[in-house]
Amino acid sequence: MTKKVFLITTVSVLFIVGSMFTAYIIINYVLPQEIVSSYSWIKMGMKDLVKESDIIVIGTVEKVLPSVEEKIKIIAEEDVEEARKRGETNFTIVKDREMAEKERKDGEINRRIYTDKIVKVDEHIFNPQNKETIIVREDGGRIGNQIWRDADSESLRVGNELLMFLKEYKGAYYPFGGPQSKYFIKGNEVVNGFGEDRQKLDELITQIKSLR
Amino acid sequence: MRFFKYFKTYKLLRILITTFTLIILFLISSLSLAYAYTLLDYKWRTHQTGLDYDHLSSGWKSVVYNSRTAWNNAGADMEIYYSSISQNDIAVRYYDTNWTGLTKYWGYWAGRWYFSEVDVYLNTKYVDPTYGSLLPARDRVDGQSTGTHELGHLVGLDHSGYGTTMYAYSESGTIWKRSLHSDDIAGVKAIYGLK
Repeated sequence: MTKKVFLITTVSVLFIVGSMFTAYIIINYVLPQEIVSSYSWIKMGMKDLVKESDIIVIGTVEKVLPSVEEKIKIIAEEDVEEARKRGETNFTIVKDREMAEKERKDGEINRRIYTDKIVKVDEHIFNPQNKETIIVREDGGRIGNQIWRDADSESLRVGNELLMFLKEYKGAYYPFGGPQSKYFIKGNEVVNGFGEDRQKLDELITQIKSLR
Repeated sequence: MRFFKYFKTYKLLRILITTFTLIILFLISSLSLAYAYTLLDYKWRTHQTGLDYDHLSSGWKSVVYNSRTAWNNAGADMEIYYSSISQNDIAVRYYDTNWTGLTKYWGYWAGRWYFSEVDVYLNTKYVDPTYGSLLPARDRVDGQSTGTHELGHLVGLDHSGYGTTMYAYSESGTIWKRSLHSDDIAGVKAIYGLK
């Protein structure tokens, strides 16, 4: 093999490998990767929403905090007590260690991204808190080039004005019925996150108060 | 009788009635073709995909088997097969939320969006492993109905109207989502064509 052929071959191989590596980096770490979630919800009437809420507020989204990635820990029933002794609380329980091991193998199914939104409370409809702002936590968000979104419902954005049915968990509030528990306010009209149940804001408030 | 007399006599009346009848017939035929299914932006490029549910208990395995069989028998050129090495997983766990099922999907762009991985979650807070002759209790959600709905997302269908398997809400104590509605079948055929 002549020196020239060797050089050409080496450069070609390096070029191909370099291109493949660059493409891999661009596809996995630069281009936005969309991860979409489609939920099936238990249908909740107004009575259920009011009954299950810890608080009901009208508020305006002031700020969207950076998204957070959370690893879901899988623990076998027999190891739960031990985990609790270690102070762990955030895990999913499965039947036995063998199943726990099998369920742990897929990293994707065991991670979630959530985003906290700072909401300025304009009016407490039920269970007034001494708080001017609350944290509303929603699944989804963006970390690096990964975008997680809900297929059915817009997540809360800065400036959105809503009436929300919320449940508290560890200092944050969740719209526990998904799109059903977020009523977007447009003028004096409201519509829930599914684009359903359009009605007058005043009428909705009266209905909520009559159900408490 | 007078109407027929006028009909024979006046050409304009004949034209008006014929046009009106044709418009009505066109609208009726359009309505029967206008399916309400909604498609996700994604589909499987190879018209088939594996699904790993080896780790599930036997009851849940039957739920998933029956659910995928419903889509495989829809007459579309698309198959969901069992594969222990597939990245597409099903998790059956207790989640303290108000959703019964969740499908999470990833994709890539190659002239259009294609699925690269789909994971399905079934929430045992509401859903029981009921399938075939096993019926759900009145206050519990049917496993096979939920599984069939979530696998509808896996093939590329979005939510649809009441009465279809792809209806967004779960109804306790019912099994009607187990059987695909003509709208669901039309949707999956629209994505992959006929078998």
